[in-house]
Amino acid sequence: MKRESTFSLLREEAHNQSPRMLVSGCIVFAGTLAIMTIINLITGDSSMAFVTGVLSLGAILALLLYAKIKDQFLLVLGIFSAGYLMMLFFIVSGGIEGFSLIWVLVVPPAAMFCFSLYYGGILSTLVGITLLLYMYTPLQQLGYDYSVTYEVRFPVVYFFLTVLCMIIQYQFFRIRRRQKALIAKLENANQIKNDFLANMSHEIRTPMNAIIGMCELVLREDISNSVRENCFNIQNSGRSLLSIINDILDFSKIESGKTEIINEEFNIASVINDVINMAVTRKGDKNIEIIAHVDPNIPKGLVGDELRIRQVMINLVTNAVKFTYSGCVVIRVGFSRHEYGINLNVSIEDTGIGISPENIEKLFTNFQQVDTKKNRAIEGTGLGLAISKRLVWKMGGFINVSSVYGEGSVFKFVIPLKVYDSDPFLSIEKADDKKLAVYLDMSKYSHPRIAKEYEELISDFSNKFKIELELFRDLDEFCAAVQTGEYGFCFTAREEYTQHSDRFDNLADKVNFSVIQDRFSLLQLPKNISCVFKPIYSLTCASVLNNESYTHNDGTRGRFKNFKAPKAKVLIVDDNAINLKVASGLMKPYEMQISTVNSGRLAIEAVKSEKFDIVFMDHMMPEMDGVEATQKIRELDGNEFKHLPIVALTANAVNGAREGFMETGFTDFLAKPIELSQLDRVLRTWLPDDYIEIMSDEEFAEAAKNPPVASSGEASELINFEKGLMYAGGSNECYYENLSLYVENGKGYRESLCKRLEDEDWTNYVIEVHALKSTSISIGAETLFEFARSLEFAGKEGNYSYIRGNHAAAVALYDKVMAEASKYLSDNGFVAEQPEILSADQLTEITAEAFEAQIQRIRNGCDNFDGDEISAAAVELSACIFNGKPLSDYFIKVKSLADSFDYDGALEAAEKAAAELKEALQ
Amino acid sequence: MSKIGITADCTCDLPEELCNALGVKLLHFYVTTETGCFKDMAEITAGNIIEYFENGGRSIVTAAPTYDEYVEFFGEALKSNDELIHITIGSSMSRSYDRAMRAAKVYEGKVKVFDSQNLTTGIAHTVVEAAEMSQMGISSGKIIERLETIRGKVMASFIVNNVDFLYITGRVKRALKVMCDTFSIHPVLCAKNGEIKVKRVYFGDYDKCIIRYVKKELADPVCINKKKLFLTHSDCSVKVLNQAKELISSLCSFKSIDVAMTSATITSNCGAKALGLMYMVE
Repeated sequence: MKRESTFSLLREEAHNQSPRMLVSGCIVFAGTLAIMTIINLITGDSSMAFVTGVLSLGAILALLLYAKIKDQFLLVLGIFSAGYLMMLFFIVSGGIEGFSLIWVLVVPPAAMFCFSLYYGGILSTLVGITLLLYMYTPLQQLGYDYSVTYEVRFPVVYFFLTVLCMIIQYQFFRIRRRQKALIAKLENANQIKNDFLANMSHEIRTPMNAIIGMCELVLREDISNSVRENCFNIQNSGRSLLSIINDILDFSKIESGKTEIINEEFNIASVINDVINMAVTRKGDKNIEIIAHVDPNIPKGLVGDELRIRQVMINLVTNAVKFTYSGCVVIRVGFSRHEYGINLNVSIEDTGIGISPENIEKLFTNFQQVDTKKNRAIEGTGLGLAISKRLVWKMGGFINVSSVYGEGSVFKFVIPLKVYDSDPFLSIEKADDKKLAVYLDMSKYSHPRIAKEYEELISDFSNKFKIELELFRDLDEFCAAVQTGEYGFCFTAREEYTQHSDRFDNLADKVNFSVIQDRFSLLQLPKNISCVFKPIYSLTCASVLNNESYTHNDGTRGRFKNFKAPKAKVLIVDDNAINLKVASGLMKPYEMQISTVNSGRLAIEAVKSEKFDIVFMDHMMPEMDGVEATQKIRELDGNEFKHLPIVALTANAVNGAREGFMETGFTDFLAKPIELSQLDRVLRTWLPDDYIEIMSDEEFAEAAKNPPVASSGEASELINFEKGLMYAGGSNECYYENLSLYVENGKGYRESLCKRLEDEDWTNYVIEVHALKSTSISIGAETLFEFARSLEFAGKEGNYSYIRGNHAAAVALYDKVMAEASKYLSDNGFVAEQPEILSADQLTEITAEAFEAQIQRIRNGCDNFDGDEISAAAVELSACIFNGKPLSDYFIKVKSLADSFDYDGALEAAEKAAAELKEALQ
Repeated sequence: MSKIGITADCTCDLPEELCNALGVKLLHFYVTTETGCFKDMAEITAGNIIEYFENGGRSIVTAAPTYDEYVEFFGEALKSNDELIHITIGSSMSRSYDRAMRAAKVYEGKVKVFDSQNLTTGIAHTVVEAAEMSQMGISSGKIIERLETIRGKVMASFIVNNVDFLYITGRVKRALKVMCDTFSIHPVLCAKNGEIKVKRVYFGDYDKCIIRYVKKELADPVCINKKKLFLTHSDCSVKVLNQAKELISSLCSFKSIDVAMTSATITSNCGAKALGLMYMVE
């Protein structure tokens, strides 16, 4: 590398000099000359006054010029020239011999201080040379004649001073240069450290994923308890390490300024829901309460970085749960209105170990976990709070902490956000008509804070939702009040219910009764009592109070729907046969006219050929996904297509999903697995009012006579049969069909999935694993659902190494789930409906015309998406012989395809069979 | 006997525990930065203001609550009280007194507004006095009389580390800032007749200046009312506060020494690491 000379460095420094210093120097210079001019005018020295006045004006002119065009060089040149001319005048006029001597001696230090060593040095040297030239050459005859002693003393003093100033300034210059080099080195080292951390973290993450995945695989094998325990520990440690690595990656990004705040429209509901769910998961079976006070009046349309807000909230909640061993963690989300929108206020309070005042000071410092002795067992990088603080700062907000050592801490942050829709994100329909009674035995809480928080929460519900709500602490009073029929809704907690279940069961026939319980220790409730998961907060409260499906006209309630809509025409679109089956099964009790198709393209054709009242569309399908299909339907000519209710079906019910779907043309959103209450809500909202037929008491009583019960069968670790049954709308028959279809199609899906992996066709792999995810949850296979979800997310993130490392485990699990499902079906004596295989003598000959008529029936069935018609024709043909050939070989497959809603496949198989058979005939 | 509620501006910096114990309700001021407008103490604290400046924030504006907010605040407080005494920051320092006075008129004599002519925990002394009298069931007229008597007896002063914040908020000129920085000048500011004035200045190491300041303030313990002292600070370290507390205890035997953190509004004027002693004289 070319080494720069000291001279060029000095020049560079001069050029980079702060203009403020130059301007200040210039002002001082011009001001001094102006004062001298005034003094000279007063003393009558007009020639001197003229010179200093002109020079002062020159300096001011240079200053003005600089202010106008901001060119430093002109300023330096102007003041340089003025200074030099002044010195020349003093030298020639002999002014320096008198009091004015001081001005010449001031030149070297002043010039070097104001104009840097480079320009100041030049000016001082120039003045010195002029001085020598004048004193030791005949030039002296032109002006003042200096005495000999002066000629000797003055230049010596002047040059000595100049050299001294240069040495001092040069030393300063060297120090500055060294500091600059050091800073650059430090910045570089910091950058290298950040890059290293980021790269290392990324590199470690990949094998860590493989380790965790492999552990999962081993854990599913038949292994000894000690191996299982060790493996479980490896997996847990791996997960902790992974979260640490993610923290480091995040922090490196923030430090290097790569983290961008992306302000987009979002709904706070999904953020809060995610944070609370996460808090509950982190809490696990820890004996603490999670309590959430969420203001339902927060505007529903906010503009901000949803992802970062969620990240900060999760960081703080994780910390609170981590350091709290008894009592509660309280999440408060509120807001204050301002001209620009709102300030979102979030506070996370806990009754944990607290932080000492000394430690609070270093709490937000990078890599620092306070009170390490006490918290030795708690893992973490200590980066969470540092990350949170930086993120909040980047979003324009502030974060605060206050704590009492041993009693608990409060972390608060505020973020200013713009608002695009100021309606509250939650509200209660017909709030005036709703009265709510809550029975809680506050004495059961060991920590006084919990009772206090619940009381406040209940009071909040009442004030914020503007509903009548009463908290009862005495059971008798509660029962008496509910018996009066005054209250439409009642809540109690699991412990209270367990103690007095008989009394509550009686009350539940009269009102909408809900039991609040922990999702980790679920209590089986009677069918007329609904379950609300902890923590209860405004969102869950609002959904219970708004959920009309739980209420019947006569005040009784139950699980069965109390309306039907036989006139309604419904189209269900999903590429997955099981999902179609599940959705159809769920909608069966409504007695609607249901059609199903298995692709976006067919959906468009279907809506063009037939008028539907509502369409349920899966958003993720191969070839043409639900979003594209919906947009194409909206683009069709005709007003009816613009207003046709199209409801998105998705298993990715993540944050912002609802808003995203609305933007792309969907009318509403339904999360998979479909919950009856939600389906009920959607149908009530979007079907024409005159299509809704309220079931009579007799009809309802008839339906209620046979509540669905889980069939017998050994409890399974892999399939939650109860849940599967619930997703099948409570119908055993429907659930058996779902399971049967799951097993039947399983082999094909499995092969297809493996093929996608082999071909590295990641787009379709993600689509298929997404389908596996949704079908698995619909039969209650929760573990496989989670596994498939992790693979889907890995695929979406482009983390293919994770997929490669975990695919085998997923497939093995898939096999086991299918085996369990088959066993369950056989245990319950379910045999899938198959066309009867007839012996050769039982088969009847079919004529060419009759054969063609049946084929035409299949064609029509395929055109009209009428699975029953296709199946019926296929069954009839299977019992026939055509041209000496039994047709069952061809048409059992056609039936199977039709049953799987693969009408294209069924038509293709039927046409192929027809062509083959006709060819043989010719 | 009518129930008298005591309320105050948040600039009184009364610690939360004391507020809760005395049943005093505070009304927030507003602090507007480049990114948003925040409720003092509820949304923004002294520490935040200091960080904001340290990270290059320059624009900051503080504002008293609006007339409507005062009306609403008084209305809410009157739900649980028959009468109200609201104590404000010195009327020459903020518009809060004027607004509170106008809002009080809505409640036709039920709300009395008292101009503390002081700031930070200098106000808190009058608030505590009023709250204690209210708890004893003394009438609002008598309380106001007493507050007027003690108003001039509240000594409020604080030493500031530098005048950076005062310069940024436009309260001192650049020349003065340069001078203070160059010569390590630490001014002691005090509230006198409702105005902030420079009481004296200290030169040199700040920690040593704090010790000199405390010693000077408590040099004449005979005339000091020993009931209560507020040690008010803007994000001073625990170490400095402990040292100051020890020194105070050795110089004068106060019955209670309450440590209070300044609100963001006050901090935006006094800057980081300011430390003040607020007490009453006999």
